[in-house]
Amino acid sequence: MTGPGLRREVRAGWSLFRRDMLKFRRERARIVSSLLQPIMFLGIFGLGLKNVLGGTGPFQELDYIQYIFPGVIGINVLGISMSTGVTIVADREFGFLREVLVAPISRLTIALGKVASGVATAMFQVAILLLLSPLLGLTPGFVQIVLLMSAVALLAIATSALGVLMASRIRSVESFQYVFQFMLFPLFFLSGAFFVLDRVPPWIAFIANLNPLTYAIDLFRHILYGDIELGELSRSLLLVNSPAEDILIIAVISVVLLSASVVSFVRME
Amino acid sequence: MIEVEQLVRRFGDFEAVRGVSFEVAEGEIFGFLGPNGAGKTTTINMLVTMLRPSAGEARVAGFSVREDPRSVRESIGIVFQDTTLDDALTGWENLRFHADVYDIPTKLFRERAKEVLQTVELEGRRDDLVRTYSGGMKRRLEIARGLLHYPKVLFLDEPTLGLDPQSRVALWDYIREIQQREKITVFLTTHYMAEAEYCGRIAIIDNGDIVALDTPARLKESVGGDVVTLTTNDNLQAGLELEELRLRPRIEDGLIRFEAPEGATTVANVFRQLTPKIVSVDLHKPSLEDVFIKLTGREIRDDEASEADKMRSQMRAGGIIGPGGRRMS
Ligand SMILES: Nc1ncnc2c1ncn2[C@@H]1O[C@H](COP(=O)(O)OP(=O)(O)OP(=O)(O)O)[C@@H](O)[C@H]1O
Ligand SMILES: [Mg+2]
Repeated sequence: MTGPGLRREVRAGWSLFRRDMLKFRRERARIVSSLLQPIMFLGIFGLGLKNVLGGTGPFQELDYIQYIFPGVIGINVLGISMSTGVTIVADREFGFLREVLVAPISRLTIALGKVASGVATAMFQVAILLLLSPLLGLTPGFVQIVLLMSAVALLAIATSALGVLMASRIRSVESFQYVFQFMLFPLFFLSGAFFVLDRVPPWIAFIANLNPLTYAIDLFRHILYGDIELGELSRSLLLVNSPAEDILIIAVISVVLLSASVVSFVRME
Repeated sequence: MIEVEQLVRRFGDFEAVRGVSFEVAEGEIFGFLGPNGAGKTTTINMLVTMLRPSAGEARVAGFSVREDPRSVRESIGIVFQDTTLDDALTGWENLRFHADVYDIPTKLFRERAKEVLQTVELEGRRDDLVRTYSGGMKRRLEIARGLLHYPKVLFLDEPTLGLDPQSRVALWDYIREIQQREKITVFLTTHYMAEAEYCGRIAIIDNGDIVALDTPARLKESVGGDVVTLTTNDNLQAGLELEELRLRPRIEDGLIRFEAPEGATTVANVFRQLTPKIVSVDLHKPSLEDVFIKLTGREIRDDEASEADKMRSQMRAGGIIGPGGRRMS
């Protein structure tokens, strides 16, 4: 691609991104409801199960609500960024997608613009969720916040790309949501978000090991538990991989999903 | 400006467009006239590179739709049959998005956007959400947007779909004004006979084939005089007698139809000579409807078409099917 060509693509990608942000700002209801869900998780699981699990194993040193907080962040990122895919399908249903597809810009630009929107909305939501962290007894400093946001962005690339991939294959908003719900459940629960995956059957461990969320949540824990004194046993149960391993694996998954989504989007009729 | 040669599009076993060929000269208003399902939209979608031809070739503004779709896209403006506006944005925001993806310099965009909005009389509503526009206003905004980037060829797929008669006339005034001012080539489709009259030349398309192509005046001449329609109390007998008068009658749906160069004189003559009782008679100058009937033996039926429009817009409003979804797959 030549210089001016590239400049054109950047401008087009930026305008796609800006449109998504504009619409996101105007949809207050969507912002509020996507924040209520993680708060519900924290309330129901965090406070509800606290007394059931509290005081056992690693939860002698760590509050159960602190345990699930990184998972709730991960789930929120997954939910929001994958729903960027819905905006593509909705644009198709309302016709606007044809205005985009018939323009003299590359499909690659369109797919990347959408992934960028997914990453930005996810980061915005997590920033708001982080405001809750003092209530849970977590007090991330500036460096921790920057690290966490970078980790969120890395995960959101993978999940937004997954959303774009699905959108390039699915024609209606309804079926998109159906498939989305179907995938969300196993991704949620087989990620170490709610319970420690040390004594699960091998097939569950296998799925959990393919799940980008598993590594993202592990990485979030490394970042957020920095100030908490943890014993050797708790440490080995709560923090499974090293941060470098986590980053590497999420990056690989991101690259794979991003390439797949771009290829699929370019081929779409 | 547009050269089409033996263009074919199949959907599975079904041939929606069966090898059409035509050329459109620079600055011409060229119309595709045909009933629902004739293949108008399918042809347009191939010309604007949204659908790959199954066979044949088309060149728009000198570029091949197969080999150089990007150059084609840069040269054209398009108003699709189903709306492609973002109704959660304002009119101005829709235009600005368009300017960005077509890379119109910002300063030029501001002037041009004002100009096109003025032409379609929407300056006053530019900062309102498109959701609050009427159907006709949306259509006008889409036309304005299609013109924003100075296209060489403007494609309009049923531009007046779902509009009332006054709005249709007004929209046509815009189209002609723009076409003359900017010297662009306009390719449009319609199933309204009256609209086809505005075109420099029209191609009548039926079942994926072009059955006639000429200026509206010449097409009407080809009917062969005034159109006479009769009903009698014995159509069969009347038909035989008209045959003897060498009027070449056709009996369709209980109506006898024939053409005669001097309609009035002929009818007077027929009244005198026919033995069956004449129940009703209609005599008129040939219209494009008559051309279509003569060529295909069927009527285009505007009323049926508008029923389909209504259904389509209801379905769109209810979100039962995605407009465009079917055609894009
Ligand atoms: N994606 C598709 N898959 C299968 N068949 C299709 C598809 N798109 C169009 N067709 C068929 O091709 C034929 C021509 O359709 P097209 O939309 O081109 O008609 P049209 O002349 O534009 O009609 P209308 O006046 O209703 O818009 C129809 O029989 C239609 O059912
Ligand atoms: Mg059509």
